[in-house]
Amino acid sequence: MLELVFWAAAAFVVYVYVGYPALLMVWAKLRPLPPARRGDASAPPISIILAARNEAATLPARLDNLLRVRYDGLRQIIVVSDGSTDNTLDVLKPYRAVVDVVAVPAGGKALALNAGVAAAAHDVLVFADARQTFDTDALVELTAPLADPSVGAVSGELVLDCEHAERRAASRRRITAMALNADRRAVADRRQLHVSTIGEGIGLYWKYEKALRRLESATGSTLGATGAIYAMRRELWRQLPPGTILDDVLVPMRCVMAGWRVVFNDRARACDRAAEDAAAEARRKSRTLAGNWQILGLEPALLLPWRNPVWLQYVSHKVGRLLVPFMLITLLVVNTMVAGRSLVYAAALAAQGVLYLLAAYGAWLDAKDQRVKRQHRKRPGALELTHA
Amino acid sequence: MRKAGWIVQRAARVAYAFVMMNLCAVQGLLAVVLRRKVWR
Repeated sequence: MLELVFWAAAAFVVYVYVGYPALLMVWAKLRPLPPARRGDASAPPISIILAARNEAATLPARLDNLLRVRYDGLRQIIVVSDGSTDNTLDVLKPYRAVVDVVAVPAGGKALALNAGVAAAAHDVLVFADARQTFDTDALVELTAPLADPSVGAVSGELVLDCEHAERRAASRRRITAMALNADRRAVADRRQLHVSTIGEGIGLYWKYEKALRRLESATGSTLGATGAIYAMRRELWRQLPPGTILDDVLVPMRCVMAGWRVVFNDRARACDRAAEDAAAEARRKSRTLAGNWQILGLEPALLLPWRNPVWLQYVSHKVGRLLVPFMLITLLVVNTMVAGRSLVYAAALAAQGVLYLLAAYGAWLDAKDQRVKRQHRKRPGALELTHA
Repeated sequence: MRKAGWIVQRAARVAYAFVMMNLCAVQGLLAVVLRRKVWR
């Protein structure tokens, strides 16, 4: 019995991280859904909605970016101030001619988005966040797939600085040049700041996640959008319940359940920076995963195969990820109990031991990165390298 | 030797990110059940 539990838990974990992507690859190859038809060059009028709380420092640059992004159609920009207590409303004053400002009492992002959509004048909604920036063609690429009548929403791609090859290469070149006239140890420390432990982990994970989204899109629909850049038909919008954590999963999944496709267009790009340290990334991740648990309560029909057109993908990807930690605990406990029964179980236990030892080493590396970073903050002039 | 060290460090980073993500899933469940924001 214990052995059966061991193999079931192991199979579950392997399926979620390896089997499901492999299945999607085969699926996308054998039965690809035709790519969304490209638009006929006419750009539909759009309403860009940006919910912000205490973003006075970032909004001017963000709005300049949204106004600069190339788009031939009409664009309405709506900034919803969600109970901001800084001077968010003041920094918006110079933009009043080109930006609609909606001020609501602090009630969370979901209610702010509801208010933003209520103020929208056009039939295509584009959602954005305050911190990121859009590429020049982001709006054109984001709205183009909506020319396909079966597509209800489009997710763009969020590019993190930690996965940006050019930037990394430029950093490396700069650091190598510095090595010619700086002491080696200091340069090694500074290099550590660029290739931070958590940054590299996030970069790899995010690439894997985006590859999954691409495959899911190619086989039907993605299971969510990137909150920082997604567009949808206004007719599909339904008010978000207060306290919704992941509007960017709930909204697209509602579209999918209503029979529409949600596609991923990696040519519509927004750029963001990765979390600076493990604690920041853990907060972000906890929020995302709490949101995925919450959605199961908000839309329980997602778990019903006859209601959810992408049930297999949803269960394999979203629900699977939520259950993996419990399977890992099961694996460790059961494996410890059966380790003496055969060489296979002993080897499996050793492999698990190696995994957790490596993770502990990774945690130590991250702590070291943070220490180095703190030291450089204390030393004047040291940071000009880290942000080069 | 340096290459081996680099591979081990890279594996450690990935393993750390993987374990942390799973801990966050448990923390996320607790946050929803207890109605507490653990990510602030």
